[in-house]
Amino acid sequence: MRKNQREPTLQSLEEELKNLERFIDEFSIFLPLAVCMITPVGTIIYTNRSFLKLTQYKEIEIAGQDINILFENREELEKLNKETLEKKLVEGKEMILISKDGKKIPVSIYVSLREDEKGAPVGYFLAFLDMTEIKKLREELEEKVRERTKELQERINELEKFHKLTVGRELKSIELKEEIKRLKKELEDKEFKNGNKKSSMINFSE
Amino acid sequence: MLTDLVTKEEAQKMMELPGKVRGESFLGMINYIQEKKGEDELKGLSRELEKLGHSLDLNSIKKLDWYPIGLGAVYLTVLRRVFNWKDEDFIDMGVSIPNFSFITKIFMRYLSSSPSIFKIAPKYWREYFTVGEIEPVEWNERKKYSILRLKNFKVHPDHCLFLLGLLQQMGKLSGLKEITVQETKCPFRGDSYHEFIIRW
Repeated sequence: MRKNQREPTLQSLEEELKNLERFIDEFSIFLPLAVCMITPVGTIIYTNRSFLKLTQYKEIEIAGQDINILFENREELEKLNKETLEKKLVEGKEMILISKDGKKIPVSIYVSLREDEKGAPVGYFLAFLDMTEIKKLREELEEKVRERTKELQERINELEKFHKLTVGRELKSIELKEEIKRLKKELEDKEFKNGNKKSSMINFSE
Repeated sequence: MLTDLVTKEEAQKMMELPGKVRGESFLGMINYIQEKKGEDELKGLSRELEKLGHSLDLNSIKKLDWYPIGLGAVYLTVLRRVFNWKDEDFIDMGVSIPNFSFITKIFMRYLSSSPSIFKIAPKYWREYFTVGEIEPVEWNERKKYSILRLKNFKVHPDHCLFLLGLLQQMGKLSGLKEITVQETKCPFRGDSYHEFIIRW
C-alpha cells in the first residue's frame, strides 16, 4: 500500500515547532501588555518583555521565583487563586504589585486557568494592566471636582451672605418706613391736639 | 593564557563526542553568564572559544536547532579552567536553564505534580539531547525521595554538576520544596551510569 504522503515527518514537525517558537517569541516581544505564566504551585515560568519592564526584574531574577514576591497583600492573592480555580477566568481585579525597587504599582489583573485534557490545573496565565496613569488621571479629576465643589460652596456662601445682607437692608428699610410713618402720625396727632387746645383757648378768651 | 589551559587538540577531541543538544541549552548558558557574571566574562569566553576555533555568536544560535554536544563540553572546560568557575557556579547555571527554556514551557502541563514530571523525564530528556536515556527508577512519596538514572551519557564531569542544578529546578517547578539532589553514581567515577537521588 502506498504510504500517505501527507503524514508529517519528524523533520517537518521540528520545522513547525521552530516556527511556533519563533512566532511566540516575536509575539511576546511585541505585546505591550505585561504577561506571565506560572505553574500550579505559583512558580513563574514565563515572562514577556513588558512584564520585565513593569516589574523592573531581569528574566534571570524573576524566572523560577514564587509569584508571591510581586504582591503586597498575599491574602488577596490567595483569594484570587481560589476565585480563578472556581471561575477559570478572573478579569480586572485591582491589586498592588511591588516592583523590584519596591515601587507600589496599581494594576488590574486578568487570570486564566490552564488545564490539561483531563481538566487538571497545569498553570495560570496572568496579564497585568498598569493602572498608574489611569489612577493618576482619576485622582487629578477627583481633585479638580473637589476644588470646583469648594469654589462653588464659597460662591454659595458669598451669595447667602449677600442675600442676608440685602434682605436685612430691605427689612430695615421697611422698619424705617414704618417708623417714619409712626412718627409722622404721632406728629400729626400732636399737632391736632395742639390745634384743639388753641381753639378752646380762643373760645375762653372770647 | 588559554593555550596552557585548554588546547585545540583537547577541544577537538571533545567535539568528536557523539550526540547533539538543543541550542536553547547554549542560549541559557550565555544568558546566565551575561546576567550573573557580566558582559566582560561573556566577551572573554567568546574570545577564548574563537582561539579554539569556535564562535559564540548569540544571534546565530537558535533555541530549537541541534548543536554538537561536544561544544557544551568545550564551554564547560573553558569556564572551569580559564574563568575559575567553582562547582556551585555550574550547579547554579543548571538551576537557571529551565527558567529560559521553551521546551520546559511546553512540558509545563506535566509540572502539575511532581510524580508526573518524574514519569515524563525520559521524554523531556529526548527533547534536549540526542544521546543518553533517563530511567525513572523509584518514586518514594512516603520517604520523600526519587531516583533517576542516566545511561549512555558521558560528556564532561562539570555537566554532572549542571544536571544537579537542572534537576533541582525541575523539582522546584513541579512543586517540591527544600530539594537536594545528589549524584550517587557517575561514569567519571567508574560507574556504568549516572544516578541521581532527589530528596525533598
